[in-house]
Amino acid sequence: MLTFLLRRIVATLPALLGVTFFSFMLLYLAPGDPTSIILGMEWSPERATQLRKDLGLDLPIAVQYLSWLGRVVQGDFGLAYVSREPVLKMLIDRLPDTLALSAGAMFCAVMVAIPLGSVSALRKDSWVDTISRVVAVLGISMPVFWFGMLLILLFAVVLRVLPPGGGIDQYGLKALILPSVALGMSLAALLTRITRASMVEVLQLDHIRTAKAKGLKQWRIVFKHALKNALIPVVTVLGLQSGYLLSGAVLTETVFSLPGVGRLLYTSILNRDYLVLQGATLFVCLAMVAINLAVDFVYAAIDPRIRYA
Amino acid sequence: MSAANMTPVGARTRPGALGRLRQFPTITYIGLVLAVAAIAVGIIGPRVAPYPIEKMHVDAILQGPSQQHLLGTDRLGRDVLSRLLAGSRVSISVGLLATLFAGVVGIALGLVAGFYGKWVDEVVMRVMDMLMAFPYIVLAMALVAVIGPGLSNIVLVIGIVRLPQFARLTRGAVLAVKELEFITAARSVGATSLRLVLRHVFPNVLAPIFVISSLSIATAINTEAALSFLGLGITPPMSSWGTMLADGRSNLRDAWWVATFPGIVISLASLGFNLLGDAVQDLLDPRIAKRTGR
Repeated sequence: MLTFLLRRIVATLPALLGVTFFSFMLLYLAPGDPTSIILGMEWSPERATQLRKDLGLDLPIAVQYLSWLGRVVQGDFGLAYVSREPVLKMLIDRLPDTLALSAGAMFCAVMVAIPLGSVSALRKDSWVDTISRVVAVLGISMPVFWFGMLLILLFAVVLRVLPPGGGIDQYGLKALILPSVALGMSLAALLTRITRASMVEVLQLDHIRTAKAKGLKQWRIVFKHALKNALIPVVTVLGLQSGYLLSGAVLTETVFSLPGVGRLLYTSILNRDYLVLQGATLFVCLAMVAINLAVDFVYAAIDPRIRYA
Repeated sequence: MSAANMTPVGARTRPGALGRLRQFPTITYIGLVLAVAAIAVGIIGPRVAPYPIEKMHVDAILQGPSQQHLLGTDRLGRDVLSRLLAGSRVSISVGLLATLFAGVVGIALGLVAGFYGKWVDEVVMRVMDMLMAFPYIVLAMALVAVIGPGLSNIVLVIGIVRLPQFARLTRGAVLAVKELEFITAARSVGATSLRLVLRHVFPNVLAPIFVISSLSIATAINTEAALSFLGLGITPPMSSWGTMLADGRSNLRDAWWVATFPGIVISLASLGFNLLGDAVQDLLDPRIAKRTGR
């Protein structure tokens, strides 16, 4: 197991280095001079030259990258151009909203996908199956931000039962309901398809036929014998979809004005605060790489065949 | 009894082209119709629009669907249907061109990496791994922040974001094909590497590429809409379905139609390409093909 862990971590390193290099280059290639953004109205050639020297922008690019990488490893993502706050602190402050939104979305997705996918598999090729498959593909095709807008229209504008947007500190957990449903539904669409496919395969296995031959009730066969096995690929896909959730979170947080990491990333582009953009991009990618590694480890722990593959 | 009817018991007859077409599930036809309709609207849409897209009807600002304006008007009194039809060209073009870019570059990289292996494979695939480590919208937003919005930049950005899927798929398929006997036979009769790749390897990886292309068009249409919605995509005076959604967001309370119809159209176009890709994928899956007799 330890060898497998080390091998996976080493295999991740090139991608990690690539991600850090790309994030670094974002600042380097971004349009405009950082000194003019930081100094604003106080900009003068002398002050700009001094600031470039202070920030190390006059050094060769390789030196700048290595020095930046060294600081990042120590948790120093720099100071935001606009607010002059430490970027890492800004990210950590906004992390709870994003994590809560992701957890809420996963919960909604699982609550919809597993029953719908199971029913679809049990009634394969029936009208229930066809409708569930169309709904699943429609869920993947529908823009998450548009679905979010429809939810706002219905539940916040027409029915007035939920807030149209805002953070957890403003409205409590109520603020999370609509964004979680919006983000969760597109994930549910994918999970429904995986659950259905996996369930169809498991229902054809010998142990299910034996259970049927023993005269077990259908609900017992489904819940006790089929679902447990069918859920293994569903759990894996759920873990691997973390990146999808982070992508969706950027759009969902923007539509619902939820102050998470995704919204911070978006506002950093609008404010041309490229240091925050750099920090947020790197942060999100590192989170994604870490989650993928964690999923690999958990899966290897559950299924020893993966360790020896 | 005619000779045609004397089929031995248990023998399976091979259906003709029409017969095979009939065996496709209805859902495939829905996908095909939606995808073809989306492309057709993209081509002829701007020509059949009832009003010029920038024409402002000052007496009909934020007017709901009516006989004059079938899908209503927006906050500047512009006809929503006309803008949808005109915007279709931009949205569908981005979907097709970004997929074309990702396909051409990705397939070329995948073929080279898979066929030559060694350090070429290592370098290409590590760069693809790096691109895939980014959540797609985050990567797209970061790239737009650097190179700026606009039609050609959006095509480029979405193409780059979609590129690794094509490269990985092609490389995998090449690795599976290149050790087969017919490749060894072609090599032994003196076929050059380029000829091997283009004449023998490439045709064998076309089918899965078609599947991923169809799914990729759907993703590209959605990504363009997302970027334009965030104000990082198509810039005025050009309009796309995504920019219409962004416009409609501020009037959601008083004028639901401005944002609702573009959303429906994006979903339907994307649904069409997703269903089409799914259907071809099912067709290529031997297990499913066997079950349905295809």
